[in-house]
Amino acid sequence: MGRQQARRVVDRISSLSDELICYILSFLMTKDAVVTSVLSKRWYPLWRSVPIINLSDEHVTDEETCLRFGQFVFSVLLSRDVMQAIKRFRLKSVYKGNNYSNNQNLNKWVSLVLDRRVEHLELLVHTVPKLFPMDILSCRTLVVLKLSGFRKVNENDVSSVELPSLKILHLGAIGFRRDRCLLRLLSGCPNLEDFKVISVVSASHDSCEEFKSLTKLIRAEILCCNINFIVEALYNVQYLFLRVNKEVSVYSNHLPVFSNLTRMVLSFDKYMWRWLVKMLKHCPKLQILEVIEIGIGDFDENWVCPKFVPECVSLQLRDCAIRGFEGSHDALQFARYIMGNASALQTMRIYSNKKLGSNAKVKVNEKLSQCKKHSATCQLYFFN
Amino acid sequence: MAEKASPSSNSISLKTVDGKIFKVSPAIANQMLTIQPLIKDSDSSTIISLPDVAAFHLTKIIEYLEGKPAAAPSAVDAFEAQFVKDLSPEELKGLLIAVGYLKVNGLVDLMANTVAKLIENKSVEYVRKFFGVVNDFTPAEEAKCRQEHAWAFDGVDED
Repeated sequence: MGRQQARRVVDRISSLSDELICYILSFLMTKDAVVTSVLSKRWYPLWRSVPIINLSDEHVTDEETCLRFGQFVFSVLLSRDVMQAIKRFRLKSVYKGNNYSNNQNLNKWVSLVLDRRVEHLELLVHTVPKLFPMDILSCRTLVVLKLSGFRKVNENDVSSVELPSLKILHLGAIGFRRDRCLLRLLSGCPNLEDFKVISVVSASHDSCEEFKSLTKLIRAEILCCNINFIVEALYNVQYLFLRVNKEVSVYSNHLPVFSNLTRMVLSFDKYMWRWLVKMLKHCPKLQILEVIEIGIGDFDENWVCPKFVPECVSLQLRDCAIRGFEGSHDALQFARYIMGNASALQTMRIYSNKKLGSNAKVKVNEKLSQCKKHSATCQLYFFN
Repeated sequence: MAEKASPSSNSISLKTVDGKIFKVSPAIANQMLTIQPLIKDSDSSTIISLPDVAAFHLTKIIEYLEGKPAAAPSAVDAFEAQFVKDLSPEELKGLLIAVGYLKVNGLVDLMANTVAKLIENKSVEYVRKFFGVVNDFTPAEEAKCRQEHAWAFDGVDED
C-alpha cells in the first residue's frame, strides 16, 4: 500500500464517527450489524450501542439452526450494556417446526428488553398457546406495540394493562378467549391514536360493559375481526378502514356516531349496500368515501335508493370512489344515489373489476354517465 | 457592523474546505441544523466556513434540498432513488460524513440507509474494503469474535 493511499484510508476511518457508524448499523438487521464486530478492534463494540434490535428466524429451516438462533438472541441481549437503552425491538420467530425452546424463552427475552426503556416493540411469533408475555402490558415507556401470532389469550393475561404512553397498537392473527379480553387491553391504552387489527378473533362472545375510553383515537383499520363491540370503541376516529363481511350484523347493533370521521374506506361483499347507507347515517362529517367491492356473493340485494339521504351525503361528501366495480344493479344504484344527492361532490371515481369484459365496460360507463349529478362541479371518472 | 442587506440579496454564504463559496437562500441553509444558530446573526457579508464539507458534497446537498418534491411520498421516493443512483461508494461515504456534520434534514437517513443496503449480506472482507478498515485482530482473536455470536455468520459470504 502506497503512503498516500494509506493516509487516505486512515483519513477515511477517522472521519466516519462512531455515531455515524452506529447510525448506519441501525438500518441493518441485527444479524448483519453483529457481523461488523469482526472488522477491527474499533468496530468490535460498536453494534452494541445501536438502540435498534431487529431479529428474524425467517431463513431457519431445521431444528438445530432454530436452537442456535435462540442462543443468538440471548447473546445479543446479554452482551449489551444494561444501561444502554433499546429503543426498538423487533423479533420475528415464525419457524413452524418444533420451536419449543424459543417459545419458552420468549418471556425471558421480552423481560430483558422491557428493562431497557423500550419504546417500540414488535413481536411476530408462531407460538403454542398460553405463552402471552403479559409483562409487556405494563411497560410504561411503550409508544408502539405490534403483536402477531398469539393464541388463546385469556383474561388472566390481560388482567393488568397499563400503557399510558402507547399511541400505536397493531394486532394481527391473535386469538382471544373472550371478547372482553380485547376490551380490557384497550382500557389500559388511554392515549391510543392508531389502532389496527387484522384477523383477530374471539372464541366466545359476551356482552361487554360500556366502553368509552379511546378518546384520542385518530386512525383505525379493522380487517377481519369478529368482536362485536370493536366498532363502538372507534367513535373518535378521523380515518376508518373497515373490512366487513357476512358477520356485519355483529357491528350493526353497535354503531356509534363517528362525529370526527372525515375519511372512510370500506371493503365488503357485494350485498351490503343497505348496510352501507345505515353506516353513512352515523358519519355526519364524512368527506371522502372509498368502497371496495370484493364480490364474493353472487347475488344482489336488489337494493333500492332510499328516500332518506344522510347528512354527510347531502352536505359533506367531496370524493367518492368505488373499486372492484362489476356494474351490478346494486352498485350502479349506489353510484346513482351518491351522484344524485351529494351537493358538494367533486369527484366520483369508478374502478372497474378486471374480470369485466370490454363490452360490459362500455355499457356500464354509458349507464354511469347518464346519472344525474346534484353537484354541478362533479367530475365522473371511469377507470378500466 | 455593516448595514443589513436588502431582502433580495439576503443569501447566506457558505465556504467549503476546498475554498469554494456558495450562496444559498436562508430556507435552504436553515435545513442544515448545524449552521442554523449562525444564520440568525449573519448578514450578506458573513461567510460561514464548513471545515468538513467539500464543494462536491455541498453541491449535492443543495441539489437535494432544492430538488426534493414537497408533495406525495411516492414522488419523494423516486427523487431519492435517482439522487443516490449515480453516486459511487466513495462519494456516498464522503457525502454521509458531510451531511452527518451539517445535520441535513432527511438526507442523513437517506445516506445511512443507502450505505447500509450496500453492505447488507456482504462478506467481512468486502465490508472492510468498503469502509477502508485495517484488520488489527490476530486470526485467533477474530475466530473468538466469530464464536461469540456464531449464528450471525450463517450464510455470510466467505471472503
